[in-house]
Amino acid sequence: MIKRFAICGIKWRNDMNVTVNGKITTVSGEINITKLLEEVKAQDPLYVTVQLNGTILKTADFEKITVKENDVVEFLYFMGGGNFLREPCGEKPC
Amino acid sequence: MRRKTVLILPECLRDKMVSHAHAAYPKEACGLFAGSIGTKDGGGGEDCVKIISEVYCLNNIDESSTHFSMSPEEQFSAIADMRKKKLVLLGNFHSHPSTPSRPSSEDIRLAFDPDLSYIIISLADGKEVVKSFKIEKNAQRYTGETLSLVR
Repeated sequence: MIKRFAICGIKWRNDMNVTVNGKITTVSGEINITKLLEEVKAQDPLYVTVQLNGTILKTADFEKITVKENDVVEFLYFMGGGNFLREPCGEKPC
Repeated sequence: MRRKTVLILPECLRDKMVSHAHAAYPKEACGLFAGSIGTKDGGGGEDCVKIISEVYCLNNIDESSTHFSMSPEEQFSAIADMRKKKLVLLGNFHSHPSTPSRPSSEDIRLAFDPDLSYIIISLADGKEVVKSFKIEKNAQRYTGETLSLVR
């Protein structure tokens, strides 16, 4: 296979577009969910729920799952409150 | 001068939130609200104006009179509806069946998104008090927001 390179030496770009919370966002290459949350400056990732292409992900899988071009990601913060402190239970603090 | 937030709330949507609170009583009720965001000249700078046009009544999965949590599935479903209608998530609401309409320390602890408005409906002493707050979780403080009811 013959590889052709531009004379001016254009660098091979890895940037790709994903939709995050309704906005098209450029991310640097195929990154995992943890990195994606860092790039979009999500606070408190432990309290974030992520939906990738319609499927809600487990927090334990954030490091293992990478986003791809044109993926649709929605993330939201845990929403709760009350009159007393509750101990964390299950997947997310409650 | 500090920028203020003004919420424009149609009475029918206020009634929807309060009815949801009554239906859940004595447990806490919860939900989301959405609409659009604009600005207006507040004299000392631009105020943020949030116009509420949709209320989503969700289930309190804690089923408790002193704590609430929302199901992620219901939240994502509401968000999908907002996207379809080109609305923006403006905040969440919940009820206090027997305590005043102000954020508790637990409400502050779990207020992760500083851009949202937090509406609290108190049903204490047989009254219906609806107030909105901006909560700064890291600073452990809250400030009241102006809530304007419109027909």
